[in-house]
Amino acid sequence: MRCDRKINSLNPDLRETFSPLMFRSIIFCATLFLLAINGLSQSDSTMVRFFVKGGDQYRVRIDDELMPKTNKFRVAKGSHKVEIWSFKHDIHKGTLETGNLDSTNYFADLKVSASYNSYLAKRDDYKRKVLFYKTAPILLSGVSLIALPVTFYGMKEKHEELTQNEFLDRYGQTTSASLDNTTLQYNTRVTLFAASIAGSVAGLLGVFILGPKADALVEPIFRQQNPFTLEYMDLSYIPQINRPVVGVTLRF
Amino acid sequence: MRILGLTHLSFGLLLMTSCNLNPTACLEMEEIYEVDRQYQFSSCSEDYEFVTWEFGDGTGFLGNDAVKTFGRKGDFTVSVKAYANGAYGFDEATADIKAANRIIDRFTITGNSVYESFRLINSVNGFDFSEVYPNATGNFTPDAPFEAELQDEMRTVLPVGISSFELTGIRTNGQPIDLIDITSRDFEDNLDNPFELRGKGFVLSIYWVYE
Repeated sequence: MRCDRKINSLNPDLRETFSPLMFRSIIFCATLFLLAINGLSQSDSTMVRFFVKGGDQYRVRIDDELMPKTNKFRVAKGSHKVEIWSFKHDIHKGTLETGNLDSTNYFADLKVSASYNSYLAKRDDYKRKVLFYKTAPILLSGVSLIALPVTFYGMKEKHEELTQNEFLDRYGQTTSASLDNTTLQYNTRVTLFAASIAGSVAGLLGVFILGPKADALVEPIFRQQNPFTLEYMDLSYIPQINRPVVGVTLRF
Repeated sequence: MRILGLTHLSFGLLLMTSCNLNPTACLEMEEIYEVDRQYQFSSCSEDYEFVTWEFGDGTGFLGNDAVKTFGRKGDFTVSVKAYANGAYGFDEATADIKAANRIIDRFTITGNSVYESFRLINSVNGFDFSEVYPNATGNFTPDAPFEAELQDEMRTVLPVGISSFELTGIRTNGQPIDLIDITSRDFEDNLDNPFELRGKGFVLSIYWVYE
């Protein structure tokens, strides 16, 4: 109030009435006012924005405190221990130095864990084996068995035509070109029928011989513990839908 | 899945074998067929998909109902094959036949004849073959007709077509009298044996044989 009065006293009409002491008081009050405003704009915390490469949904722990699922955090200025983790990645540990900044960015590059790479290799191997032991024999036998009667009747029909053409050719009632054409078509159909038989036999043998091996295949599972929440997350490959599925296992 | 595969395999094999036919070839033929006459043959085969004919003279026919004309005389083996199952299975039947011409073998004349001799003229394909038969006087009945053996030159082929005959009686003075007018017959339609020509109280019966 006193300062207000002094500031009000800066009225030019009254200036002549100011003494040097009063003027110094006014300067002092103005300085205090400016310092107060400056003090209000200065904060003890820093807004940190996290830019994390490699993880879709990551969790951040700063100074052993699990942060909410966002990438902007306000922290006290100074040095902080930062831990970032995302499923399928190794935990990232680093230090955040905010300095005297009001806002800053934190960049982290998460590395894919070695166990996940190992899982990927096992998954590829599993997919290959499922294809070889199960999918391929079933497909081969299925397609071949369906094709078997079709190719058989095709071959039969063409053999009838070929026999008739051969007969007509023997008595000069058809052209040799027609006979050659029919012979070629018949040979093609014989080849298709033979391929159907071979495919059926190979496919069925595959189903019967390789089927038990396919049944014995163990589906690879990738399991990783969230180091912050201690819950387990599973990633298993489902051949039927040809994609991995994530599941969470809670351990108390 | 394995049970499904076995079921499918069984079904496929069943499907492939269930429609199989067991063809039976059958052939009913006469012993002799006339040269140049068109015949229509039908096989009595059963359970077939198609039939082929082979006539043994270098000709064949595809189909159950064959049309055939033997162009020359001879002994032939006719074969019929009945095919089924895409021609992977067939049955065969054969028959030995003879293709021959109809040859005029002899003739008889009935009627009350006052003539010294008969003269028979046969016109075939523009050629006339004539022969005179003596001792023609008498009453010739069907039970006791005038019979004459033909000379070799008169043993002509009856064509599958038109042929003309003329019978005249010759008196002692040598004057010829037509006993049967010139008569043309189409022997494509006529298989009578003997075939008879009539006129003026006389009947000419001409006998033929296959040769």
